[in-house]
Amino acid sequence: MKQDFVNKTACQIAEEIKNGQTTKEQVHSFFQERIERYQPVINSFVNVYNEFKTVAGQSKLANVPVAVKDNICIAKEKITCASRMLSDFYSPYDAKVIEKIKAAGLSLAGTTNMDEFAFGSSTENSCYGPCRNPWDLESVPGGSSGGSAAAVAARLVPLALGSDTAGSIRQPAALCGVVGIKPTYGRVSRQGLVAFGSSLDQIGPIATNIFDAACLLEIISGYDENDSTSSENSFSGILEGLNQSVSGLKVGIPKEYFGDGLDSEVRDSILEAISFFKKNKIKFTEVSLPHTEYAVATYYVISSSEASSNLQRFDGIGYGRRVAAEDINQTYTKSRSEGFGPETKRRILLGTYSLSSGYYDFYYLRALKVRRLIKNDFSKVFKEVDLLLTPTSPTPAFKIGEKIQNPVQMYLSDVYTISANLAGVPAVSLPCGFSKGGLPIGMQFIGKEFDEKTLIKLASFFQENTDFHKRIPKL
Amino acid sequence: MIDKKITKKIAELAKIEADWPELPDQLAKIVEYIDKLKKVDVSSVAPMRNLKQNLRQESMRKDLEKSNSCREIIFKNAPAATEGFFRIPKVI
Repeated sequence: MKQDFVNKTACQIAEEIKNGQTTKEQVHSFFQERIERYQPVINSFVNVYNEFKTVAGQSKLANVPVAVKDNICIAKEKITCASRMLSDFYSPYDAKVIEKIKAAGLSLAGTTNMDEFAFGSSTENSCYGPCRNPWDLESVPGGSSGGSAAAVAARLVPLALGSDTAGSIRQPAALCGVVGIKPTYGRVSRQGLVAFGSSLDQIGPIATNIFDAACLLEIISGYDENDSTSSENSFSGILEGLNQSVSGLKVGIPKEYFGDGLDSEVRDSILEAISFFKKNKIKFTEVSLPHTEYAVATYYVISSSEASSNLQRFDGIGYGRRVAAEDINQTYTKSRSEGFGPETKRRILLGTYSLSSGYYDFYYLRALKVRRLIKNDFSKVFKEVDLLLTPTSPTPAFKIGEKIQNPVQMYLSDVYTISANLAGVPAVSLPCGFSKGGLPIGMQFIGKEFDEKTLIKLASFFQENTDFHKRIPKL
Repeated sequence: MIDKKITKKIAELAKIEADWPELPDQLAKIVEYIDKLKKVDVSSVAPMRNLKQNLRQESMRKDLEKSNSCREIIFKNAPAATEGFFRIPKVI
């Protein structure tokens, strides 16, 4: 009889291979067939490897297929950031996280669709066309790691990696009904991640459940001398305490995250989750993060400034698209103008503006100061509570095309996720309900620096007592 | 306020052709939104340039020679290369 792995966790699949109940080949061919069948429908992959690539290694996730966002370098493979600029680029080396994944024996399944250079919240800004949400093919999967979240939600792979600069792991995880973790800044090496906003970017895992996500996070974490922002803090213990009691945990509810703009069905699902936790002796306190209102504006100044600087390297000279022109300046301009899509150009222009003479103090420097105030808000509330509980996204998935012409509306999709990146603190999104229209709803836990453990413990407790994460979209 | 003239200037700085008609208006709306930062009193706040104070103080690694086998693929990625050199348009 043909085995079915759709309802199995990544850890169960690895265990079954290890015990001889199944083989790596059977697992791989099962997922390859699903990708072949559903990729034309949801467009979650940019490249699918004909043979999943495994280097012999041991871990709780050995031989399990993992998909990688198309902005994380895999040696000798095509990495494009879903941009025409890089449509023929092959990575010379492995990102640190890929080295670690290979050492842990996971199998690389391919690279996933995304907003170009990770600029976006809907995976519509891709030169390969939009990715679709497996729960409603007319809706977006969120973004920018939409391909990774959609692929996991549709069970085309049990695991994926994304990157999160403003919510790009958590928001698509919420919109697709899966789990995503944005680690503490510095926990996971950024070496080999194509840089967007270097003071904000983190790579993190996407999985169907918190335990698989935590196991993948443990594998990719760790100090790396090639990333000067990588932390030497002790990385052990992410999975510790999973079975310890959650009673007595103090959870803060930031009042600013429940105001205007929050969809009523999302609000109801979050309130139900809170009432479940209260029944289990978890304490809730209302807290305030008074500078939340300025987070989106602060983020767009800082991240666009960093992006405009990081993307200077795409000049048509050493690699990437070159358009032949009369002189060197025209070569730069033509190559960049043909290589980049509209949202990438808008971000570069906004960043150039806020860094330019006469505007620097007013925008960039001011945003750096507001960033400190936002960070201070978190430091203050974390003296009172162990973690914060919020919605991940103000609404369930929106329709393809709905926000693409209105950049400010699109930016506000990240209103609840952005602050964690500005403050460098970890956050998790996990499924906590469904809308009447059958779309997934996600809740977010935000924690203290390097305290992913507490977030994972509470998420794990929630998943042991609910089945939202077990529901699978009908394709 | 960002207008057509400023859009043209920053596009030149960024070496991008900002040639679609909706662009100045889109940028103006974004700038109007980020202008809300004006309302925050930052007079006694130091800028937070990175989150480094939480990380290691000394981030320089030893400058050691390492071997790699990237050369071939680096030239494969070049838009134009010949005999181990990049071919680029005339600079001066």
